[in-house]
Formats: sequence, structure tokens, C-alpha cells
Amino acid sequence: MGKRAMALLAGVIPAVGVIALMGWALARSGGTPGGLGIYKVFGEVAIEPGPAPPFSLELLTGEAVKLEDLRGKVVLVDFWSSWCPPCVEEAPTLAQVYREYSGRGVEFLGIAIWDDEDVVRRHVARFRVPYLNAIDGQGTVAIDYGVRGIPEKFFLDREGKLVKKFVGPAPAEKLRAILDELLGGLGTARAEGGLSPAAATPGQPGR
Amino acid sequence: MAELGTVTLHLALVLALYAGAGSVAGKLRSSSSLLLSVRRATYLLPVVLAVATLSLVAAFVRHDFRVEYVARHSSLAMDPIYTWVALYAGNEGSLLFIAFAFSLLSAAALALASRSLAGSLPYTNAILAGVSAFVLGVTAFLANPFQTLPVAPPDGQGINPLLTHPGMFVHPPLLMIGLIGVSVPYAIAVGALLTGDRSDAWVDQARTWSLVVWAILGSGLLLGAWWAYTILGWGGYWGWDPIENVALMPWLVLTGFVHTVMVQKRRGMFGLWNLVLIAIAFTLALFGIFINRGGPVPSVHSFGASTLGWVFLAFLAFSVAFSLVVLLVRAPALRGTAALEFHFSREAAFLFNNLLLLGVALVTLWGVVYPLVSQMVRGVAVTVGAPFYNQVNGPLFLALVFLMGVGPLLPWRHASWAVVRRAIQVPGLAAVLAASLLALVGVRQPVALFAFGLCAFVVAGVLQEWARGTWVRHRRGQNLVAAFASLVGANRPRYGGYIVHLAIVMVALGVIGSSFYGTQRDVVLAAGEQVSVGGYTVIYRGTRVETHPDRTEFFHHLQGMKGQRDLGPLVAWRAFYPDRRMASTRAAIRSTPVEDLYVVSTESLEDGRVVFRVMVKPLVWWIWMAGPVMILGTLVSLWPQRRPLVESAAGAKRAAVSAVPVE
Repeated sequence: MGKRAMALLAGVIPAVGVIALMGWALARSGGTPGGLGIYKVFGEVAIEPGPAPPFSLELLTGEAVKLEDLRGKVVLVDFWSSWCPPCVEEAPTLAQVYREYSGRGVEFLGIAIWDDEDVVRRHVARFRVPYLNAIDGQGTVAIDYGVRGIPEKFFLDREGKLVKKFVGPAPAEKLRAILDELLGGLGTARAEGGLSPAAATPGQPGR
Repeated sequence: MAELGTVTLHLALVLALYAGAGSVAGKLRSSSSLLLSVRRATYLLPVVLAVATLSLVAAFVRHDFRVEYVARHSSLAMDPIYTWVALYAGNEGSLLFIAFAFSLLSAAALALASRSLAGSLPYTNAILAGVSAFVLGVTAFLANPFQTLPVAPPDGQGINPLLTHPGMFVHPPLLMIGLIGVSVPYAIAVGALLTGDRSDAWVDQARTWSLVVWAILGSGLLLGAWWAYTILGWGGYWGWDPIENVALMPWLVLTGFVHTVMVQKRRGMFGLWNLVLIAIAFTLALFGIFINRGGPVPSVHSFGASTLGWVFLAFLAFSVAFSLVVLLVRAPALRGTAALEFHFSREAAFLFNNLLLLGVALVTLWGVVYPLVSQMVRGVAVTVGAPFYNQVNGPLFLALVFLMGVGPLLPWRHASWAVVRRAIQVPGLAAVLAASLLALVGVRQPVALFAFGLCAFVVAGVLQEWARGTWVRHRRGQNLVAAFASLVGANRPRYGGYIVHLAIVMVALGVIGSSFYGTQRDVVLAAGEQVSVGGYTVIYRGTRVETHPDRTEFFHHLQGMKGQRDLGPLVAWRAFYPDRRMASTRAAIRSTPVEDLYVVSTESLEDGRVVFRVMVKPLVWWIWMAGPVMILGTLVSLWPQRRPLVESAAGAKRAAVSAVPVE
């Protein structure tokens, strides 16, 4: 092979590769990336596992929920909005998967951001959302968790550690796989008592 | 207004098409009258687009909600000052803005081009006009900002609150101009290549324009970081978001280009390499624009609901094919004449610096496309986060800082070990001293110590160069100030480059300091209460609330103390936009060269107490200060060599423009 042909290949292959990849992805997402901060495509965001930022929220039911209350359970924290199409789209899935796992030491917490209370209540009633739901009216928890868009999901293990982050609407089988992994992968189901989450610096989640 | 906008937009498209086709035809037929005519068309383009752009601005300022784009991106309640810049808050208007800014750059590139480039200028013009025509075609037919609604709504939907920040006036335009501006040095280089111009006449022009674009893009990136730092409330300044990354990549490659292009000028080497580099930079810039406009990678910055992805991807593919074909057909004539001596030579250092910069760009590109690769391979899109970039790019950046220190100390061609040793003695000593001193005062992180040592190495190297040169001239009878001035004046690209190196060290200091050190505390304070963090005391005095039609603003008044010293009042600002269900914060920042006291309010509790996040972030100040230093260095580099240096600073701007020999 001549030098020129080599150079041609060296230039063409990566360029064609990247462009083809972009074309494939465009075809998949229908050519639209979603609006500002709305994730239409499900995906994982690599994070460094660390203590979850503490929070204290008032549930729609009026009770209070704190991070410490969820210790000992595998927790899915879902940031969502009633006006975000992918969030609405995945609402039945979340409810369904929660019903399957609720008896097995799993808790879901939906946190509505950038939203009005009555619309949130209507959404919860409409999809018969069976799990905890709260409104982060001031966006505090969203800032602490480094939320960049919706829906964004965080998985906490039984020790209250932030272990996984996902963006976009989740398919049921993915949710099941992650929950199974977090339930099965942990030998020490017992929460370690001593460490107060407030003492730890909130982890820098995500990007 | 909308009608005027649509008409001028279409007229501009016709002009650009004429300029593009006419340039090629004029060149092939050697018709000087046609070439003159297309030149005039290129000069007319920015005038026509200024009318189009101003009519959109006018529609915003006058709240003409009949224009759909205005209705979607502004409202009666928004701060009037931001109506002037709301035109680039969305996809359509920003495309128009890009077309306008680029037409100005193109006209300037043509007007300022040296006469020796007359042969290749038609091709350069054709490429520039082609890019213009593409952007204008998309704007006119697929994303027309002047589309009107059948009935004017009483009010608009408002601007995204995050955009109502002083940064809006400079950061988006600089980044947009910087990205599209990479086309200018590319067009100059490829124009010369197409003509078969084997002289290096184009090198000066391409170098000038790449430096201009480099500085614009760099300033845009820094301002974006500053914006994020002040408004997003997490105390960070760089999130490795895809859109940030795609602007960083061409900047990195341009950084390499402005170095090796000097080698080409001085030593006649790297001719082909430089063409490849500028083609890569251009491709990456187009890739950036594509990702921005409907690219498939989720990002906070992407423009919503844009269906333009395919169009931009097609243009990207076409440009890549064009670059490849031109390079392959024309390149054999361009091989460098001088052989590279792979020892200790400055040109070797430049080559390594290029490879490292390309490496960082490649890693970053991999991070951007990785979610798609993993989606394809594993079925799950995994976005690599900051840890990936920090781990991989961190060491590469440190190696770059090291090369930045060593490279300038090496002589051209070949250096013996003795020469190298002599050159790095003082900087090396300075590095060891700085690291030891820091270790003594309690810096324990080995990586941080090493990195700070490298910074000291670079600074000492630059100072040594300045001191030596000045001293030599001083001994010939000049006073020290005059000696220094004439030293810089004698080789402006070099000494301007040193100033830029100092700016890069300043950025490095800030990044190292704030990444390795810094404290943070979250507290709930009632009026009169205080908190102590990292030697600072913050007292919360109370909150003033201002109600606006679209938002409620909270001004949390604070008082900062360092030990017993009063730092004066601080205000942490927060606004809540009920319609958008969005909160926007602006941190109270008390900045010193040593460290920033950063207070952001995250929540107002019902009982009147306020939740604050208080951070102490070391050395961040240096990152922002690096901006002006970088621009100063670029201006010195661009300063025309034949003029005397003793001129006022006000002359700097003029000089930057006249750096290109005027016809």
C-alpha cells in the first residue's frame, strides 16, 4: 500500500466512523436532542460513588422525608416534572417496577422540580404513583445532586451511598437489572450506624 | 420588521452564492472584472446581514410578538436590557447572528489580505462564501427567525432565566464567532493549497487569523467558565459538558497550529502537518456546531427541538471529504524541506506539544461520542463524567505545562545536553524551591506539589528569558525599561507567546488550587446568625425581597469577616421564576488572589431562615485574571513587527488589526 493510500485510510476511517455514528444516533433520536435539559434517551452517567447529599423534603402526603429515613434500603431518587414528555412517558413503568420491588427493601422517591403542586398532584393521581413523592420547590435538592435535566435518576445503596446515575426515561428491564444488582451485590444488608450523613461532605455527583 | 428581515436574509443568501460561484468562475476564467464584482459582493454581505440582524433585535426590543421567535424567547416582564441580546437565545436567531458575524470576518479577511496572496484569494473567498451560503441557506429555509404568527400573542414566553446574566453579552457571541471563525485560517490555507502556492505567503495570514480566532475562542471559554462559576451555584467552572468540550477541541488544535506554524515560518518545516492541523481544527469546529444544533448528544446547552441535525451532519461530511481530497491531491508538493532533528530542539518540543494537544482533543472527543458508542455496543448510553476527563486529561495537561516550560528554552535545530542543562538550571531550581516551600507551609498532596512546581518552572523559564535578554541590551547602554521594551519589540511573536504562557500558568494555578483544596459547608442561618468556614466568618444580616411580574428576587445581605478583619457587605442573590418553575442564583463572591469566599443561597425556609452554601476556593481568581493576560499576549504577538513598540495601550487594538499588511 502506498503512502497516500495509508494517509487516506488514516484520515478517512476515523472521520467516516464518527460521522456514521452521529448519523446512527440521529436516526435513533429522530434528529431531535430534546429541549433544554430534557433527556429523551436513556443513558448512564458515570459517577464516583460517594455519600449521597442529605435532603429533607415534605412529601405530597404531608409527612417529612429525610435521607436518613431511607437508610437500609436501596433507593431510586427520580427527578422529574409533570410537563416533561419523557417523564410522563415512563410514569407507568416506574409505578409497575416499584410494585414488583416494594416488598424487597427498595424505595422510590420522586422529586418534582420546576413544577406546580396541583399539576404534580394530578400527575400522581393519574398514574396512581405508588411511591414517595415530594416537590423540590426551591430546586435545592436538584442543585445538591447536580441535576442537569429531567428525568434524572440516582440510585442509592443500603448505606446511603450514591452509586449510579441515569438520565432519560428508563425501560422496565433496565430498572429491574439495576435493582437486582444493588440488592444482590451487597452482602452487608445491615446499615452501619455510626456515620452521620451530615458529617460527610456531599459528594460531587455526576459531571 | 419581519418582512425586512426575511427579504434581507434571502438577499444575503443570493449574495453568498454569487460570491462563492463567482470566485471560482472568475479564477478559472481569469476574469478580473468578475473577481472584483464578487469581492464587492463579499463586502456587501455584512451590510445586508446587519440590516437583517438589526431588524430581529428591533423586533425583540419593541416586543413584536407577531414574530414567533420573539414570542418564544422574550416577554414583557423580562429585563429590557436583555432584549438586545435575546436574539441568540435560541436556534434560529443565533444562526442569523453567526451568519452576520462570519460575513464580517470574511470581509475583513479579504480586505486585509496581503497582495502576494492575490492568486489564491478567489479560492479563499469561495470557501468562506460557501460556509456563509450554507449557514444562510439553513437560516432562510429551515430555521427562519422571522416566521410570523397569524395573531400576535399578548405576551411572549420569556427568556430562559439562566441567560439573563451579564455573561450573555459576551460569552455566547465569542464562542459562536470563535467556532465559525476557524473557517477563516482554514480557507486561507486551503486557498493557497488549491492554487498550488508553494511559498509560505499564506503562513503569515493564516497565523494571524488563527491567533485572532484562538483568542476569541479562548476568551469565550473562560467567560463561560466564569458564568457557570457565578450563576450555577455549585462553585465549579468547568463541567466537561459536551458543548463545552466541542468548543475546547478546536481551540486545542489551534493552539498546536499557532506553534508549528512558527516552525514553518522559521524553518520551512511542518508545511503539510500544518495543513492537516488546520483542517482538523475546521472539522472539529463544524463538529461543534453540529453538536450544538441538533446533535445527538444530550447536553444542557443544546438548542431545543431542532431538526437540523441531518443538515449539519451532511455539511460536516462534505467538508471532511473536501479537505481530504484537497490534501491528498495537493499534498505531495508540500513535504517539508528540513529534516526534523529528534533531539533537544525547539521544533521537536513543538511537535510533542502538538501531539499532546491532539491527544487531549482526542480524549475529549472520545468522551463526547462515548455515550453513543456504548449505546451501540452495549445498549446503554453511558456518559463519561468529570472523573474520566480529569484522570486522562489531567496528566496530559501537566505534560503540556512541562513542555511549555522547556520548549522555549531549547534552541532551534539541535541542542547539546550541556546547553539544555544550562537553560533549565534556574527554572528547575525554582520548581524545586517552590515545591519545597509549599511543602513547608503545609501543602501535602504530591500531585499538587508536583503541579505547582511545574508552574514555577514555566514562570522562572519565562522570567529568565526576559531577564537575560534585557540584561544583554542593558549592557549595551539602554536603561532597563527601554531594554525590556526593545527586547519584546524585536521578536513579538516570541515574547507575546511568553505572556500567553504566563496566562496559561495562571489558569493552571487556579485549576490546581481549586481542584485539590477548598472547603465547603452548608448551613441554615437566621438573621443575625453566623457561620465560620476556613478562617472566614459569614454573618447573615437579612433579606430584601423584590417582586417582579415574572420573578421574585431575594437579596440576602451578608457580612464577611476574615479573622477580625471586616470584608464588607456581600449579597447572595436568588430569584424564583414561578412560570418557568426555575430558580436562578448568583453567588456572593469575595475574590482575592489567595482564595475566594463563595456564598450561595440555596433555599429560603418558611420561618425566614435561609440555607447557605459557603465555600472557600483557593486561587480561582487567577483563572479569570488569565483572560486579559492572554489577550495582551496575543496582541503583542500580532503586533506588526516593523513598527516601533513605544505606543499607548490604546493603540493595541489598532495594531492587532493592522497586523495583517494592508493592501
